[in-house]
Amino acid sequence: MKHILVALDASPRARGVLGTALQLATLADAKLILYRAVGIPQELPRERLDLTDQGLEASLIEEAQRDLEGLAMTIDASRVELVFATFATAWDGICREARSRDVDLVVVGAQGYGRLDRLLGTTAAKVVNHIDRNLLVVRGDRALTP
Amino acid sequence: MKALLVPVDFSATSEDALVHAIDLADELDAKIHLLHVIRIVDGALGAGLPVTSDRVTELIAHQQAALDRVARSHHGSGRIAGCWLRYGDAGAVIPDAATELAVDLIVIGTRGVRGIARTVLGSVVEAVMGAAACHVLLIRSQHGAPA
Repeated sequence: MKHILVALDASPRARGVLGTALQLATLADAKLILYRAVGIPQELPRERLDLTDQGLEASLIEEAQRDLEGLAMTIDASRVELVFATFATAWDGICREARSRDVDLVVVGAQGYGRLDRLLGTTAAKVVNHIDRNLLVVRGDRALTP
Repeated sequence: MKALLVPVDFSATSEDALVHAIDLADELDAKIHLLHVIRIVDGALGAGLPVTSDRVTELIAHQQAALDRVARSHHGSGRIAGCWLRYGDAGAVIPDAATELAVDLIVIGTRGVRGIARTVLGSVVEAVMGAAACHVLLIRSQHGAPA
């Protein structure tokens, strides 16, 4: 059985990335692994300011996990093998998980991958340069399947 | 019908990408366009040779024949719909050709170069990823992979 790691951020475009990954998984009879790398947001809600580092990390991962599970429920459940989040820098987390789980393909969104973004070194650009397996960069919501 | 674009530079890496693309085209019932870009930047060919009309004519004929050979070697797949030759900077020409041919996906090979080598070899892939208006599938070739 083939495995596809789908990197999903918290943007509204994650749904489109997941939809494209699902089309490929259906074609290839593959299982999806839904993943989000969680970092410290630039602005934290007031109630989280008092948390310890460990408490904050657990709280952010739990929130990401819930969000991902909500996304997973919008697609065919039989295609989803695993839904998980880790505390990591996005590009590093994606490359690390892809390697350790020995997936066949990684799917990421192209958002934040304009010319300026490439110069600044965004997530997608860094994944392109560091990933050691096949990578699909999803642009827009154009369907791949007929 | 869906369409894929596969840039070909006659390396084992681009051959790997083409083999993957054919498998995918079978699944998608898609056609494949092959594209070779002759590198002419700042009035010079890739090797730094100045552009003359004789040299360009000779090069176009040679590269077109090579591209046709690649297409013929995969003719049995029944997926190759066209062979296209363009010149310029591959990082800009490939996304433009993808738009012109209205493809759904670019399938491009890479050896996964890093460090100083990436600034030259990997820059095409990066530029394509950044400028393409469609999805891009990067095939990580096992040929000549960095240690």
